Amino acid sequence: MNTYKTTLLVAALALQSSVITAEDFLGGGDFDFDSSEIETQAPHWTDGFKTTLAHNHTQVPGDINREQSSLQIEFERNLAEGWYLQLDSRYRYFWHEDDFAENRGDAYHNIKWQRASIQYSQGACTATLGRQGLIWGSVEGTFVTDIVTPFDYTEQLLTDYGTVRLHQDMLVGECFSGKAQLQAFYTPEAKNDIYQHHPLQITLAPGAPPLTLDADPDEEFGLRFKWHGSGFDLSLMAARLFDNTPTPVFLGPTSGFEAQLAQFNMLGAASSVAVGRLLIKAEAAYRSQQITPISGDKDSRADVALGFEFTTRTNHMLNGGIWAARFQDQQAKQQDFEVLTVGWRKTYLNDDLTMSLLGNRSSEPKFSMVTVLADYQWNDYLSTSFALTLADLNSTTPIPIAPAEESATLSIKYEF
Amino acid sequence: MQVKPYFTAALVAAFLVAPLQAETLSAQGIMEKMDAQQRDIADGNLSRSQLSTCKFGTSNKQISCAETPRVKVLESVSKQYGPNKKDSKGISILLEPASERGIGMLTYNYDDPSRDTESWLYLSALGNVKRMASGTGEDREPVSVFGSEFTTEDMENGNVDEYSYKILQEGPFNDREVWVIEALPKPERLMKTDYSKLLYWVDKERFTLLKAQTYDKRGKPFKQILFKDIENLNGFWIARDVTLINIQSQRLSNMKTEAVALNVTVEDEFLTQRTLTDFAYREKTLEALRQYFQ
Repeated sequence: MNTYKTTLLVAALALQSSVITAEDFLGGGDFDFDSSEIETQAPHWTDGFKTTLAHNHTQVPGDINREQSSLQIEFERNLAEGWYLQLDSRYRYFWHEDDFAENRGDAYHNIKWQRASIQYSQGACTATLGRQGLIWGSVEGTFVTDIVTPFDYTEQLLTDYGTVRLHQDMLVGECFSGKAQLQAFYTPEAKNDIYQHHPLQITLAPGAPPLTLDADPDEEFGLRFKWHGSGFDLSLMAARLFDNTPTPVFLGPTSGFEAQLAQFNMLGAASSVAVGRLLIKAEAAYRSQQITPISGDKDSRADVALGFEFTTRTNHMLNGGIWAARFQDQQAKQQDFEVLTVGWRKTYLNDDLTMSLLGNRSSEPKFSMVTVLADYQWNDYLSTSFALTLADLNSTTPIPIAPAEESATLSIKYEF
Repeated sequence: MQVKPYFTAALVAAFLVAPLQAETLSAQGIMEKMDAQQRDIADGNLSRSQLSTCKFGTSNKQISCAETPRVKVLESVSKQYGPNKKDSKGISILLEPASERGIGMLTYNYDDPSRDTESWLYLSALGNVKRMASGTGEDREPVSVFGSEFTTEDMENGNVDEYSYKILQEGPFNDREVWVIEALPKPERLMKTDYSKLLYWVDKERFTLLKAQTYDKRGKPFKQILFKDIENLNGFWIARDVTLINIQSQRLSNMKTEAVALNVTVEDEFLTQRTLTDFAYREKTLEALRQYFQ
């Protein structure tokens, strides 16, 4: 009888075991957080403003290369239904130790408008008028079709080419239809690469008077058709453009040298294909009417670039690209060049620390350069960055983005 | 001594309980119903959210930020697609902090495992839309969402079939009747997750989460997620205040939904690259949707 009772008890307990748990998940003892201590802010019209205070210091062996402070004010706002305004102005002060100030003779200041545009959208189309940038192409660090927006070499290139672009006045129209987009632009007076805030001069031969590379471009216009499919983007471009860099041409013993800007037609294509964590990119372009230095002969040129972006399993972001340009005229073959670009980026410390690297190797002008940048965000407003650049400068031609073979840059930025 | 009748009654009661359990939803069924509800909420959804992250300190089980929180404000629009509404398209625009204002991200997610997630990024400094190499997003380490303690794994839905579920307990929790459900990752999931186990406290009436607890690969408590301010909006129950407490790093992230509009009509054209660069069109469309904010 006792055995029977014991067996029955065990059986009953076993049957009820599914509703008896070792841990009581419904009990108290949880953490509690009162989220009301975190303030929320209602939208306000001043949200459209953004102010940035910054200071940059670049040291090269035995000298200060850059000592600049800046105040940037940006504003954007929806003005009315279908109308949008964007403004971006930057005041820069070049301290007397800065190389630009030394070349000019004293400290000076400069105001640059990067953006002053108004956008109107109606139906499937939009038009943007005013100061703005236009970036074509897909392969990072190469400029096969990305030549509409020139460079401002008074800005510093560390690991992001976006910081050295010079926006210009243009009208851009775009129409969208499903996966396709048609874009057209017109610039009445294009800008070209700005090297300094005073005319750049080069000496072509010992004893020869220096040549001022100062040539003003005229109007530019172009068209781009873009289509994106599943994992695939394709762009086709056609444009009439000016070269971004003047070419010295010898006009004869009487006239001497003159800086000329090539005006050419460009036909180009760019594409990117996403395969898992790999993005493969390619570009190709044909440019007519290129000017051969010294002789001034006209030539045509073909550019091609191949690149990739890859995100590793541990979220390292890698990118690379190779860009080659070939001139058709055999006499201009010495101008053929190749450029190799590699990059890396990774965030750490809850995204507060961003480490990045940019490497370049060019065959003409001949130079190699690598920059490592550490950017740390202290809070929502303050960030500092430190960069080290090493360059191997074999060419006698000055390289605007590489002032010396070794340089270190410290920047501090406050944004609100 | 009334022993025999007592044990007989207990045995009968035990047998009676079992059939009752068989007639209620299974743990898998509960999770699938909850997932379907989340997809319905994400279909035609506009929200303005504040994501705050800080290190925390504890006093008598009450935690509070030990530093000024890092705050991100974003506006998001999403829509579900496909026969089972398991594909999704979404766009998010960062409004704060100032250093990141204007960054836009467009993402297309597909239920079909053979189709990669597609995403594009707009950086206002560059003024250009870039296609990102993202893969499925699940074949690499989970990524922090905007530097917070939420990871991409914490934010995703639609992976119900990658876990095995069991109801551990039922009863009252914070004045609501809940199931406590254990989710164990299946082998294919185990390779790409930070968690060895998850526990969910599911409201029996509303099929919403009240709490979640995750465990790391060593089985130690990892993150606790608390869902508060649960409201019924247009027939959907949503938690407007979600706090993720990372017990190991002593950091927390709080996501407050400041304003939300559910079941609104979102034009397919809005969830394209145009919205990243055509600001006039974007604001015109968002203004029309914001009037439904609650």
